[in-house]
Amino acid sequence: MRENHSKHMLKFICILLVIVLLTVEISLPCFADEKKTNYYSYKGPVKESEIIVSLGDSYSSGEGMPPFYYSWEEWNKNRNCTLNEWMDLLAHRSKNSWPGMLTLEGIGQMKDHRDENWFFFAVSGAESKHISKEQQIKEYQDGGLIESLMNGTKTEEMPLQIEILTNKGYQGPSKNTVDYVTITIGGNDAGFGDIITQCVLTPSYLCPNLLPNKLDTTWKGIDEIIENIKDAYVDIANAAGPQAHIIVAGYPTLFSEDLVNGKPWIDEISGFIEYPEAVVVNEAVRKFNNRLAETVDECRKSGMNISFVSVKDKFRGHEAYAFYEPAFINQVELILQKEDLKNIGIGSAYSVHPNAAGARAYADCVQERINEVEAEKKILLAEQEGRKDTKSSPEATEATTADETALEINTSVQTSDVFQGTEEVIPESGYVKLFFGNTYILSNKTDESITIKVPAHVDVFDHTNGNVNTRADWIIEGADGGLALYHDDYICFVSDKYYSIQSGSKMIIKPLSPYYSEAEFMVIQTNGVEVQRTNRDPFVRFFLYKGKNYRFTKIGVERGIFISADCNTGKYSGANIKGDVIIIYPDDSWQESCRNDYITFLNDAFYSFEGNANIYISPRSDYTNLDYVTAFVPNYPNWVNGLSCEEENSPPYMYYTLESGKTYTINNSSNSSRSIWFDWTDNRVTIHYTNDNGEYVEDSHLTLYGSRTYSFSEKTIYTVETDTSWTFFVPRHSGLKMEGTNLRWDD
Amino acid sequence: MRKRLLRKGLTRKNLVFIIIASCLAITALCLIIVLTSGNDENFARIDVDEYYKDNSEKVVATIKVHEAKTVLTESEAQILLMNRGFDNLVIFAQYDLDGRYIGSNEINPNGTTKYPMYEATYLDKQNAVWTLMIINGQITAYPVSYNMNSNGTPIIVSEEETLMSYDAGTSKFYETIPKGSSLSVKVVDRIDTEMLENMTEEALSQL
Repeated sequence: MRENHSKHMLKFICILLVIVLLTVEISLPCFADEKKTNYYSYKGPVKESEIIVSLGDSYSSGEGMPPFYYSWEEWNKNRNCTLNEWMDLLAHRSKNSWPGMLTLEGIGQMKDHRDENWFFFAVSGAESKHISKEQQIKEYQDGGLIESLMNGTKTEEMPLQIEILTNKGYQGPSKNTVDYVTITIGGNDAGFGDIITQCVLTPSYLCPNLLPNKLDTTWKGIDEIIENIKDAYVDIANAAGPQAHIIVAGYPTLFSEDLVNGKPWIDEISGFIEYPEAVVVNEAVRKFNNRLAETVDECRKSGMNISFVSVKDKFRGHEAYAFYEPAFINQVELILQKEDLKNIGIGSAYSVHPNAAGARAYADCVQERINEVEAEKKILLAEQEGRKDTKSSPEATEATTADETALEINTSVQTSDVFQGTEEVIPESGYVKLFFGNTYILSNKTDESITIKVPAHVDVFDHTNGNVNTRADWIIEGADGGLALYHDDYICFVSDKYYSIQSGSKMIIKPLSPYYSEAEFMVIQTNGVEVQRTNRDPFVRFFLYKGKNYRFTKIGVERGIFISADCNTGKYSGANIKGDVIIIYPDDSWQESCRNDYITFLNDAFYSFEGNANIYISPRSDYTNLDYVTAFVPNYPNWVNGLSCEEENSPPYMYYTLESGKTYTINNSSNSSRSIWFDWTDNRVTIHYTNDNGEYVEDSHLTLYGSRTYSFSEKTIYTVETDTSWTFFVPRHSGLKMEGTNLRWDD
Repeated sequence: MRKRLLRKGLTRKNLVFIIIASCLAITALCLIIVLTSGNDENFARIDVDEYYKDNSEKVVATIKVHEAKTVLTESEAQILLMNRGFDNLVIFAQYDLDGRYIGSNEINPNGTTKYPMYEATYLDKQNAVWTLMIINGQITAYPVSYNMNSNGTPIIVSEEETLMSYDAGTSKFYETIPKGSSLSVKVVDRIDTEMLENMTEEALSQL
């Protein structure tokens, strides 16, 4: 009897322990996730992946990152377009969005296969209900300012996003053929847009706890929001089929919490959002991401083929207004941008969305998951095909190319083969060949600095300058912390020289030199660094079209931009001349060549800019027939450079036209010396100015010649008298102001 | 050994009871973890008294909202703005008099309900954005565009050197003189459309 009682008691204890363990499992998902996770839960027949569908909100559509697949500019040309183009325009689907950067083996980047392998249906502003339950209504203002005032705001109903999967009205992929559905959704349900608007419009000093009060109110409804999001996941899973793996990407924390000299940098730089607000907003994003991850986890446990991808680590330190690292998120933009759907009102939709570097970071996070799932699928596929070889990861399937004697130069060797993924390159006798067209990562994983060497006997490649590469074809990652010798992003490797890679650092090399068209590869002496070949392009190329304006956004540390040699067809060697490249806020620390507000960008040259500066470029040179110039910046997610480029709707300078016989004043209200550019040849004007003692000098006339640049000292006011009409232009943001009768300025 | 246990009152029955109790305690702990990781937790708030101690030169006065004499009704707020040329502005209130957050509520221009704080957004002819705030009857103009374009300390335009602030948690108005490093107050005779239209970025920087 007593024994029986003990047995019952033991059973009871065991059941209790099971309950406890289950509870721990549920309550602490982070512990549960530490074990190896299989993401692909489909048990049916597996095929090779070829189709991705991308749904979601602005964080997927690529809001704030023009060019979009269809633009107002295109629309305004003849006001006629296809339905899909019209939807692209209203949805703000960017050609640079992260889903377009995703790759599938054998297919390459999705953006090169739109509507074949990639179906892009994300819509800026979408909430979870717009996936499958309720059509999203987009408001827009068509035409110019006057037309908008007359006609007011128009609306358009967007299709349910799920229709691309159900083929109701839109030609999507065939049933049960989708391999991946990517999505970001929920941010608009949680009202993050309103929250940011609140930060911007209301001075926190007057109501310090307004933001947490607002967030608390939002958070009270979070369960309902999460239920709606979950419904959307379920509807997607049903429409896409069980073979489709749904990848839910989270949101990044938005505002920088960097401290500089112990003080919050955001307080110094933003002028409107305070550090406590940044902290609270970021906390809200983190809490929201946790709920999303938990929800996805629940769905996965219930059998759905779904996983959550966090982007928080990739974006950490790269938030808007970051100091130490390049920002991956756009700053708040009050002024409406050219591609905004409204042209009356305040607050651009571009605000607080990932920029190009942010899109790259998103793509890398999701690509990593795709690669994991692909590896799982390959194992399943191999099993289903009865093959025992389960070593089917992309890395393992690629053959190593360095099977030649390293120093043996053999022109028959394969050069830039199509390559996916990353593979190790085995040096032979301490030497490795780097094939043109490929990208290599050299990692120093030791505790000491290692010098690699370009051997003297590769002189066969040598240029007349002695440079092996002269065209930004070698890129060094981590130049600030990791490399002792080089602070430029681009370096030229010279034969018979040593180059250091410090402990824990990497060097990324892409041999591209145009001077050795007959050459196939280059040789370096690795001295023990690990070498990997990768398909990741270390460059982002921007095509800067004539007549457009571009802004390259800063980073925080001295960085460079490279103008390609493609434009070497003009009268002058410069890709841009006549003051069409403008640098804002130069100061004494700038390189000599960049001191002026106007600089001439030469072909094949590299330009640095510092601190918080932006570079504005308006390619419009009369001396080249090319439609565009090309600019290169590094393209690595954890790159300390992270330059991003946006098309601007305002040219970076203003033309002033002054009439004969009138007097005008130029006031330099900036803290730096400034320059103006006179855009004519023969006419002259006289100028009176305040000398160094602060005296107004009338008899000391300064004659300004045309097609010259003249500097204006800090805080100096000049008075200009004209004897004929003339024109000059000044940078829009330079602080130079013109005052006078009949003055007009024109874009 | 058994004798010793028995002497201390730790019988097998007691031992089983202790194990069950431990399991129940762990279960309860886990449930607490689950519950507290839910959505009941509020977002961090600033201690307002500390905040103004750190960020103001002087706290001139604190006034309990229900004792304040100059809190405006909806219609009074509307008239105050209209008398200054701000026609057709949509005015919002976010708190009721008891300090409850009510969301961004558009007020009734003819209403008689009092709110501690009113807000409206004004876009001037140069497309510069201003936030107009009325707190306990005091109007201020916050140049959003200017503050966004200029790094560093934000500025605010006021008709007085002291600023009226509001905190729902303490249900008080705080009349303070901000530290220049926190918020730079630019005093003008009167806040109206004419003043804001003339207040270019240059003029603001010269105030």
